[in-house]
Amino acid sequence: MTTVAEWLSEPGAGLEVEDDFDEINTQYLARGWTDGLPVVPPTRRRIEDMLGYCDRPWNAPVATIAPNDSPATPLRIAVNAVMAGCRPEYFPVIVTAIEAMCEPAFNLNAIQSTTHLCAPLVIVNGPIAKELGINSGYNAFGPGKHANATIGRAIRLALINIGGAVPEVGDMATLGSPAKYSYCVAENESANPWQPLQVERGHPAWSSAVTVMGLECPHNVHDRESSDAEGILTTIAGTMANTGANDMYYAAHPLVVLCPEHATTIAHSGWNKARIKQFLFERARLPMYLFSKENIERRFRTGFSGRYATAGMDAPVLMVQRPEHIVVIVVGGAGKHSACFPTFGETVPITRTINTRDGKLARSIHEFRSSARGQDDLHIG
Amino acid sequence: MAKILLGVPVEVSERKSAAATTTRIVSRQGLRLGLLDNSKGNADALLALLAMGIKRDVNVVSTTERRKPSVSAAAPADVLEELAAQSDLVITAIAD
Amino acid sequence: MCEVQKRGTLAVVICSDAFHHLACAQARVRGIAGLSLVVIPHPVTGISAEQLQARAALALPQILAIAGNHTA
Repeated sequence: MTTVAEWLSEPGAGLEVEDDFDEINTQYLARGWTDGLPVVPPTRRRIEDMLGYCDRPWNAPVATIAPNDSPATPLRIAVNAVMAGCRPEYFPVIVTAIEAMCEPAFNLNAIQSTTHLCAPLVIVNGPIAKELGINSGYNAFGPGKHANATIGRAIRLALINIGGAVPEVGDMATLGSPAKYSYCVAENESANPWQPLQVERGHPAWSSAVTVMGLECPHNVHDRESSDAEGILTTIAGTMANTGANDMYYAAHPLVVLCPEHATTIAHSGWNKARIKQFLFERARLPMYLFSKENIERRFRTGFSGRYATAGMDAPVLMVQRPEHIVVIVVGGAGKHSACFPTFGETVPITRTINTRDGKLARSIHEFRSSARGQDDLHIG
Repeated sequence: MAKILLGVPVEVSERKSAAATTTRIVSRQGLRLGLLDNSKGNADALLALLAMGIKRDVNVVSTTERRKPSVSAAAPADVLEELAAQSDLVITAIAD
Repeated sequence: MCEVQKRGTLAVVICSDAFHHLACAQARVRGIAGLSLVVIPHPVTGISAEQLQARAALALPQILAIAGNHTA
């Protein structure tokens, strides 16, 4: 049996530095191992504590992270999670999210290395989201809550350090986005008049799940005047339709986040999610004349000749190819601000339930608590 | 000051061992040219210019042109397989 | 393109200078560290026909030289 202490003495696993917070941070920053912000020193004890919530072998990769296609072992993920400031009980969410974004259909290789400014958003559903205190209310996409801030940051550090999404080398984003620091949110299920996301996507209501999506930052939809579903969704559809997005060039799966007040108004009109999506699909369109002549010629008439080769200048350009591609969730506090999230384009949302090692749905995060430093099979080798 | 041993966050992946790095000999007498268009703007035009230039210098006996269905996803394995099988030299362009 | 070269067919990748680091890293990751890269000035999209011809003129001799090195 190998311990974390023994792993740290292996080549490439440990770094000996002066035991000083500032010196440690100087060293980690200089090596390009951070997101630019100070990190929590990943000591043996902190790594062990993090792995106290990992119920599988610590040195068996859970995925390989693009673009470097490097193996992501719980040990290496734990180092990044410690640096991000995570509490150990967040660890199963981080591991599940990394597994989800490494599924081929998510297209992480392109999302990591593209010039586009997208970042993987992690949406957490179910009892574990509540248990961990992941913010689904006021300022859910913003700062202030420990779980959102550090889970998202741990994933970003893993994408940089294990995946190789280093600016100018593995991450070619022309601009990047603040969402690349941390992008994690929970759905406000108690304010959701419909099924929560993981249930809509086929999992039991008592399950906990993460859904990952390759998205831009939230774009605000302010509507305090509309009094029914059609009114609010007309405003949202208008926000979804814009000439600079990637969505119309792909089979995009954009995200629409309804604030609780908008969701309540829409539900009072008797609309379900399918009707919402159908309406947005039909309305989120732009007449072709709003696009530049080069884009019309090269991207629509040539690139999508089947649909646009001879289309008139008033022909509608679809932002979304199918109604069911639109993902609708409820997040937020009081107020009448919803949000639209255009996508990278060539990516599909991936949902994964948070499971214990035996493949069963976890009811509580504490099911992951390994009696840590005793079980041979959980350790290395 | 005392030293401390900390975890390294980066994974230096074990690189896959390179398979056949020796390539078939290119014959100037009868070159089979392959072109993979990544479907990004101007890639098609650039490849056409290059193919024209190569044909001025080399006897090209066949040209296999394939287009990636999406600019943002890897070319399907069967497309790469076909290009490799039908060509002595395959050219692609990645750019923005 | 590493997949093409792994099958024994000479592969040449044209990349703009802005993407040179990424292309080198990807070639290494995909197992062909010595993949032939031909570097031309960035950008390639959104430029005029004349500018594109100039880039092709830069790339062409490099491609022919690479092919020449693989000629019997």
